[in-house]
Amino acid sequence: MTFRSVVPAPPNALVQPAGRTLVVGLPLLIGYLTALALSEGLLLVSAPLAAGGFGLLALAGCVALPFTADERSQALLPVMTAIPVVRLIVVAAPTADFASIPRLGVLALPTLIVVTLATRTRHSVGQLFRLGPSDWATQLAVVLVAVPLAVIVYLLMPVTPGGRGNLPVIAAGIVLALAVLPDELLFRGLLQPAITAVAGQRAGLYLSAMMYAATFIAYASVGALAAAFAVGLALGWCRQRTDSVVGVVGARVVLVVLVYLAFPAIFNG
Amino acid sequence: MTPSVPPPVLDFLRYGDAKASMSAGLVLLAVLLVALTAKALLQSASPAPRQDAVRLLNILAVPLFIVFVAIVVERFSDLS
Repeated sequence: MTFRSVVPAPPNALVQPAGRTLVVGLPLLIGYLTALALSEGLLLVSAPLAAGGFGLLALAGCVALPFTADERSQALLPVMTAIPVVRLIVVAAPTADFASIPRLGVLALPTLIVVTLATRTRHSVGQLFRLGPSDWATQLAVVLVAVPLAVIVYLLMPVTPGGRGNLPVIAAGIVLALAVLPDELLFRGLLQPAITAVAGQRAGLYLSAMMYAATFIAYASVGALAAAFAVGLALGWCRQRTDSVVGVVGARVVLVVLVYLAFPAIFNG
Repeated sequence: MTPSVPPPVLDFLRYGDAKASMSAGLVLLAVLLVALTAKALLQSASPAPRQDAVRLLNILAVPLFIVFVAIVVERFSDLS
């Protein structure tokens, strides 16, 4: 006579696989920010070394995924991978002979592909553009935030003339609008909500603004860093309040058009 | 304001040592090869590979491949 256990075995789905212990928290995010900042700083020393830093950071995100223990960490890793990939593309793509505005336009295509792929790991691209609980009037108000922000940015980080090369003004405006779209979707659309889910509202806002500002380290200018941090904070705050990227994308477009095209024409003649 | 490559780095990529500026492209190629190899191994290791891992590797592989093709085309146009 044999006895069998009457207690059913737990279903596989509820068993945590061995080795899945990584939870992305504040210390890991600060470490990531430091590594990103160091790679950006390496641009001042050697572009290949910086490219190596971005490559290692991106690969580290892929290596970490099988060890993540929770859903929020798994949602954050694609974004943490996408940022160094975008920076690696910016450094390695053969765009050195372009003027600054056409170069941004050329780089926008691979950046948009990165952002689309990172978005599709969790949800559809269309979900990014939902309006959220706020109405169109609120989104329009967010767009208007760009005007004072542009003044601050232009004072802290004046743009050198000749950035649009041979492009007519309207074409340069369209290129700028297309160039900032993937950038804004990456930092405010994907990164900020993913970090906020892990680190909380306030830490999420500051960390995502710092990560955005870190991408300006190679300019070796306190003004550029301060301007980028101010833009990251202001647009990040608007993104949190409205729970939508529609307004902040519009604000970013207005901001770059003012900073790169309107203000130089007004102040430099 | 959009994060790009600042003027000193651009000058280096434009006029710097040819070997050193090519190294940035080689780093990109190395990362692309690692990503493609990892993806191939992942897909061959089990009949149902982890879709989230494959998608994450695509974030590296697809755009880096496009940039790699652009680099190759640019080098060929420089030669011709």
